[in-house]
Amino acid sequence: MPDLPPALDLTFNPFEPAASGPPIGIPFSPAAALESRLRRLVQTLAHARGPKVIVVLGDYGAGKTCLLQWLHDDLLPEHRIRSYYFDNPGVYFYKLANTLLRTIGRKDFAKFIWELAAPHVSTPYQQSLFQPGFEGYLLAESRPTRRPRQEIAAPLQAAIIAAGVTKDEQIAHCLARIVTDAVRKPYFEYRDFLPRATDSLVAEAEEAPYFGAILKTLSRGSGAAATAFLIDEFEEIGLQKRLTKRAAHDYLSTLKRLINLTQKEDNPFWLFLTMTPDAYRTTCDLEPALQQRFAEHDGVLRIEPLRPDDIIALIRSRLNAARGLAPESRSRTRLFPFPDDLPFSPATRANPRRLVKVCSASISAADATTPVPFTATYLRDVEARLFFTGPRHAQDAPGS
Amino acid sequence: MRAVSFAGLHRLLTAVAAATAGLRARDVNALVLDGRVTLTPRKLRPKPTTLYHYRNTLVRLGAFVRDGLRLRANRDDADVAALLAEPAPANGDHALSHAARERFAALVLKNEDCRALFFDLFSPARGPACTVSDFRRHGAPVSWTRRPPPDTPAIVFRNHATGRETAHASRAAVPAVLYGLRYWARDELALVDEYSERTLDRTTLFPIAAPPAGPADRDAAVLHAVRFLLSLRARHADREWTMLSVSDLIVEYCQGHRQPRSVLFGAFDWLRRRWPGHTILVPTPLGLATLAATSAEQQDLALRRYYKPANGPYVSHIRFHHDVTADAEDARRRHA
Repeated sequence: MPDLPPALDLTFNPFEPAASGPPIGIPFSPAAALESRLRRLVQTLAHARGPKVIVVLGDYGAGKTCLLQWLHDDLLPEHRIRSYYFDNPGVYFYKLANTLLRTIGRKDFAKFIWELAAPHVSTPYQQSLFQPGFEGYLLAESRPTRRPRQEIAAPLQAAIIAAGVTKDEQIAHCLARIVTDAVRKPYFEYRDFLPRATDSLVAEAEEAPYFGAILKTLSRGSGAAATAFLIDEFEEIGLQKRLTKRAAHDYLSTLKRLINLTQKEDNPFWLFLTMTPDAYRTTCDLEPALQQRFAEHDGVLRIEPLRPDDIIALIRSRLNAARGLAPESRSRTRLFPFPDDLPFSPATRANPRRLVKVCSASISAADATTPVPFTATYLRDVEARLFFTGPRHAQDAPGS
Repeated sequence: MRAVSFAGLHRLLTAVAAATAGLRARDVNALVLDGRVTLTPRKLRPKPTTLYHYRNTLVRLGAFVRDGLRLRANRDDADVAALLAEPAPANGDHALSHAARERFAALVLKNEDCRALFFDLFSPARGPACTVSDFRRHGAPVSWTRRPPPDTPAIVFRNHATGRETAHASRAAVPAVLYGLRYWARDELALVDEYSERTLDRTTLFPIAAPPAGPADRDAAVLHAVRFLLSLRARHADREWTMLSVSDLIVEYCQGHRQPRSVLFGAFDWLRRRWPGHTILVPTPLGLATLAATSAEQQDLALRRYYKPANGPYVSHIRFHHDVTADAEDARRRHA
């Protein structure tokens, strides 16, 4: 990458050319009004009962992904909520389990289960002078044995029920097998989560309670006050030309099951969903019951177009992260090398992705001859190159 | 009643009218099979059944009269005479002239079977509309849905003005109405337009005022739609941007003002071209737009709720800035 002209007073280009997510290494926060509303909402829900589902609506490029990342990195940890981010996880319920557990890793998840269940093992394993702990247990289980797998898992299965993770024997067995089979297979496979596959780890026809048990394990094992799923573009299912009837049904049923999970009082679980306006409306039309659950606690947030203050805050936060050591330049304009009065079209000013892209291109295209602060003509040219903003053909000219 | 091309019917009628003594059925067929008259833009040689349906449609609509074994054009009918005065579209051309379309629409509305099976379903409270202008001006929207088993499978129509429900259950009537008359009225004669509900369990047909006769009419209709869109900003007067749902606009503007969806979409195109930096289209994934569709036919119906710019994605919402005006000069100044 060529060096930036010194006149820009920037050590690097702080705007990403693709603008498809939050910036790396640069502090990020959403627009002020949205941030304060989200903070209030999370504060309220943290002390409330009932479903904790928050839907964030916005069109493409409005900043939904960035908002989820901010929740994941900043806001939810403040409330001791452990969050997991899912990007376009697919419409099937077991895909969520697959993504979640593969993110954590089998050994770590097995350790969570072990730590919760080990104090409740009623049939003691062979005692030794030194308590071997989880690693010792795995080592012991790795020795060749003729005992059937059922027999190995049975004490742990009973302990999982005794620990209050679940009351269902099949689910307890599946969780116990995650621990006992960890030596034989120290990783999760996709087929582990297919409900009808051989040796599947998902309790058949009990996906939702099984998932609830996983969440409870995670929550208690990690000492978090609650668990949260941040699901980005759940509706982004456009890869197929048309969904099969089964897939369309699964989309709605997965959503419903997830929302049902948020209602369990003994298992605090939050769900944050981002959707386009049309996805939200279609989902609610197809399943009116969901709309009622979303709407509780005023849990639908719309990302509005950026306002002038938000634009300045966004650009300044990026520029400040990349400022050089020539402080005199800062006094020239607030947004140096951009002019204070940004000449972009309203469509660019309203949409963070468009704004970041144009700013990125403006800095990238600048050379030693480019006047700084950037002139309105230069910035409009860059914008026009990226997003065509004028009549394309003579016959398209206004009034023609 | 089958799906037929009315441009093809016009060509066939004109060709038969040229033979003053009329033509026998096999001679009419020969016109098509020899390539002197084409029925559709497709190059395929039509099957005998297709030829029969085209002949039979013209007979049933009263455009042909039987004279012994011969068929001749019914010049005594004013609409047929007017049709013959209009130049027929060139071979392979699917576009029907505005005047020819209105004359064909009059012939269709005069047919008792067509009225009883389909067009009377749109009757306003004051009684059936018998003429084209009456139908366009006073016809009421009609929703249709399929009645599934265990009842007898049927198509149930419900008139929005009167609330009256009519069911067609016979094996002959269902395809004749859905794939014959509905197609004629919607795609060939521009008497109605159609959109589906999101859940796809119901589809609405609504009568439309005469489609624009020429470019000037079309521009005027598009500007009317633009002004309507801009007038909706009053609902969000305190906001810099106004966001509207395309499917809501189809109901509110197209159905409410009896305008085809093409006029509304023309208004979107106008805004996009005249105010490119002030208009934002919000796309939607195709898989989601057709979430409830279980067949290719339902998918096509579902997509009628969305606007699709040339080479662009399906658009569910449009957002425009409060600076936008319907004044072309204003737009020109902005871009100067």
